[in-house]
Amino acid sequence: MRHISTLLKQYSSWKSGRWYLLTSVLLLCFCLFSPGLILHHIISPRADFSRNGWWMHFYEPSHPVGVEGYETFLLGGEPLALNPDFKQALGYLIWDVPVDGKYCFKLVAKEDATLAIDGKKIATLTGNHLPIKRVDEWVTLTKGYHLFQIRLQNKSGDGGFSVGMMIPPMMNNRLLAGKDVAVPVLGSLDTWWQILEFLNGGKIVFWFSTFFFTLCLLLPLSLKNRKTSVVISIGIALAPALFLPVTIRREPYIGEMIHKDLQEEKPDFVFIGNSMLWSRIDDEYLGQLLGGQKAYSIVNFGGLSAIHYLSFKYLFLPANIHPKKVFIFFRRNQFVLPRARTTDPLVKKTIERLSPAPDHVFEQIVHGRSRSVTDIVYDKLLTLFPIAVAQNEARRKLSDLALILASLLQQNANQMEKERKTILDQVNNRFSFTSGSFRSGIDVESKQEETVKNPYDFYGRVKDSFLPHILELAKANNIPLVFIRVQERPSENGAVQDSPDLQRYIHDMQEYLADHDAILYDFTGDPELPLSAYHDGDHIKDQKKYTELFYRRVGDLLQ
Amino acid sequence: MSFNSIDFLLFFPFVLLAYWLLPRRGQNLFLLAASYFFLCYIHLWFGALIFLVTVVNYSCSIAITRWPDKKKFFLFFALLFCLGELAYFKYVSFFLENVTLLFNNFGIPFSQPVLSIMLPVGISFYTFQAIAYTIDVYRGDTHPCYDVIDFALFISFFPQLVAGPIERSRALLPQIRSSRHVSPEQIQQGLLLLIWGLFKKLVIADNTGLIAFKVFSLTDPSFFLLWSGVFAFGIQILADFWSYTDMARGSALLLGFKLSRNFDHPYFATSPADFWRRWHMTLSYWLRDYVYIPLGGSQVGSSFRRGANIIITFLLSGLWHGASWNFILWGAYHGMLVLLNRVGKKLFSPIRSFLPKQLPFPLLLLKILGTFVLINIGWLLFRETDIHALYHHFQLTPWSTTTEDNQVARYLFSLTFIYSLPVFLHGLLYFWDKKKRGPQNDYAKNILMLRPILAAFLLLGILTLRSPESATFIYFQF
Repeated sequence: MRHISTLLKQYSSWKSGRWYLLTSVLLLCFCLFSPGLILHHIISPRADFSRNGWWMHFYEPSHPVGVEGYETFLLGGEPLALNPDFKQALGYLIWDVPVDGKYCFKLVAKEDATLAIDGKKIATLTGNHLPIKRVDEWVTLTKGYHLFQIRLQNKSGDGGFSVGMMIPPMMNNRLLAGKDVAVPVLGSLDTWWQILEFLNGGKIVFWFSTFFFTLCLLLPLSLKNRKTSVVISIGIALAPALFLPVTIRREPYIGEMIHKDLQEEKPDFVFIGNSMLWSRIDDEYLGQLLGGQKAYSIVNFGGLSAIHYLSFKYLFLPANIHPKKVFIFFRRNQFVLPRARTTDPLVKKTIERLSPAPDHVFEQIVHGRSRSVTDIVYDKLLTLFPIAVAQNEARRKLSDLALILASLLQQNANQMEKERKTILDQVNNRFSFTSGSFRSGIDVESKQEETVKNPYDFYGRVKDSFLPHILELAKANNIPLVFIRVQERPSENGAVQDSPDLQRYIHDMQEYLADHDAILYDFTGDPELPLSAYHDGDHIKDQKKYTELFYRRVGDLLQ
Repeated sequence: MSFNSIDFLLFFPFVLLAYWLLPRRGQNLFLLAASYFFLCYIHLWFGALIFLVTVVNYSCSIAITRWPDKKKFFLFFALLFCLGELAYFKYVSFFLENVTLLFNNFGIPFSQPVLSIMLPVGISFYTFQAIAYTIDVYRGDTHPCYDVIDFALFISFFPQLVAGPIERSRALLPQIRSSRHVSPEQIQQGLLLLIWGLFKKLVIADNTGLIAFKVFSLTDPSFFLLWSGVFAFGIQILADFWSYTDMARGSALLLGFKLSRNFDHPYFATSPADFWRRWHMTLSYWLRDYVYIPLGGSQVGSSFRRGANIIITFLLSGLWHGASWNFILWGAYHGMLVLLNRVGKKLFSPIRSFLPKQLPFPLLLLKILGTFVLINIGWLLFRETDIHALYHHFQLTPWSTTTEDNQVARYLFSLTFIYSLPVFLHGLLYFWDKKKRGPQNDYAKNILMLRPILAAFLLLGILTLRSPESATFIYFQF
């Protein structure tokens, strides 16, 4: 205790105290403005400062935009990449209306979309995927700033939308472009909400910076009145909390949308899987091959057995339809690794969207066993501060920068661009990565395999997995299940990855499924799946070609 | 327990608070208990081993003072024990493996006995610290520590227990004996060191480590691809080890202790010898004082002996790092570099007299780059434990690299370079500041006011750029 009181005395009489105070105030400014200024400049791919600090941003809730490799959405001619996994795009923009007048806005979209201005719904589009629909609405706006909200519910496949306007008196119908919209007031609560919601990961930066600021302010205790100093310090430290939205909330359940869709479509075959399924099966094309029968895919990117279970239970079953078969696509031994890809903050959001409330089986299997206090604290922290969002973007930016450096030898911009793409492809090929990432899905699964005992002991591990629960649900609802094991990317010499352990595992799984009236079809070793058929990682290059192969191989099951 | 774990995040604030609430005497006892907890948290038996090292060196050091006529015996006993336990835990498997290989090569049937020996964490560090202490007592350079708690804490002080720095008794023991105070400046410096260390580990070392890991996992890396991996490893090992030292120094500062610097921007070294004055400085000084100088150092008559002394010292340095031929090769390589450097210096001394004292910048840069390349060649020896693969790697030629691999290598070089920028920028800032304000200037003090801002940026960096997977500190295995 004596040491601490000596320390406090030292602080109060410390000459540099005032400098600390000054630094602390500067740091406070940094804390307040860094998420908006620094992160938006560095991380946000949508920031557009082309017009005197005016900018816009567009995002899907709690997930970064700018996912490579997917169909892009267009806003004012600018690409807006959206991970189809997350189904919904939500955009905020503030437009500085130049003059009072009546403006016409057109909304063009493939799927459900809404345009709201200042919280009032202006235009709504409903319907599935194609065809592209358009709606024109006139609205009177006064000169000044107006908040626009655009929402798109992507149901299947790629999606896209655009917002256009006719500005009096020119009356030239044109699309809203980034430079036309603005968020001019950095200090407004609404802006902060948007920034923080967008950044999400920024919150932890915010808190940490604030924490450090407080520390710096508290340590010197340079004010004469220590009590006031402490109170002010705590007050300033807590002030940023006023800007923070409530973050502890579940993601909205997306099941109802899928149920509605399934009921309208009444598919004959339903497919559940992750990007393995997405890169392999073209629903429409399979429907054509099946002579008008319908196929419907429920794809959750990055999802493994836990997500397949939730998709089956909460997205498919409540729709109360009875397809001829439900196909579940999987890779390796993922059905006995139930915790795989359940702790990643991004996947956690997906998990929340798949069920209206926490699922007890899921909780029991994923969280019920051997979780230490640190695991629980860490999970809670990740829920509060999903920093992974910002991390992904930052990592991508660094990777892009490295690509630019690596392509500097090229003579012109076009060649450089081409070179960058080639380099990324080469990196993917050399290391079997997905999109040049040093952490491919396979790595994550392999890591999971390393942490469990006997990862290929099917019978030893199946009881603790989601598989019995999926089979039980299927039996109770009289749904025939077919499990499709996809072939992993062959090695560069063409060898298929199929160890004796894995073969034994698959044999046991086949036996087990047969006992439970389900079927397993294994594509491993298929002669029509050489290395050249693969795009990146285990993804297939030509979806249609694979759909044909699937139709030929599994034709009997598609009757 | 590792500095970059959540366990440490819970452990350290508790220790810090309890420590400063206790009276001085209680502080040492508490720190000792915390240090043993820190080690036993990894494995219970690790505590038992360090306890034995403590007891033997404590008893022998006192015995050396009490019975001076038998001091050689007690020193010998202490050394035998320390080196014996080091040999058993670290080298016996390597020795048996090579004996088996030798016997089998001569057609003598010999099967290697199966030993399952777990290498105790930090054994090389605390054993060397204990040896140095006993030798110092033997030489009369330091007085023995009669207080068993103080001595036990000297051996097991948790911030530097696992990966150094290797502290000398005359530097650390007086701090343990005296009452400690911490100034506000020390606290800030300590926090900054912790955050800077964490940044180097989580952002630089872990990200570049992933690149190195991927390259070294390839079965057929071509020339440029391999060297991009070596470059990544070079950055990884620097950031990894330096980060540990910084975090050790930072946590020690918060406890009121000042630990020795272990790094001084080694990749700015202008020669191999200069590198060793900047890299793992406490080990270099240890080897100088307890191996090189006792062997005669540079004072021996013949050039051969002088050269041999250097080679022996570096071979031991290599062996200290691990029981594997690649580490011995690495040590020998560095010994050769230092030796050649000395020979070169002598040969070129007439030319040097024409050069200005302060080398022109291009020449200085050339020397730094040249040294950096040589050090990186050494890192290949350090990283590749398979001798056959090593041989294969050195057979690779630049023109055998395919265009595709060339592209990948360029990308990996660039990515590593981007991740390493903070370390190089830090070095540049440090040297620029030193040059501007003179050698006596305290760089840390100059950035006093910048510290909170710097820390905030580092935190920002850690949170957004840290690698999702954090590897164990490389030097934990030594």
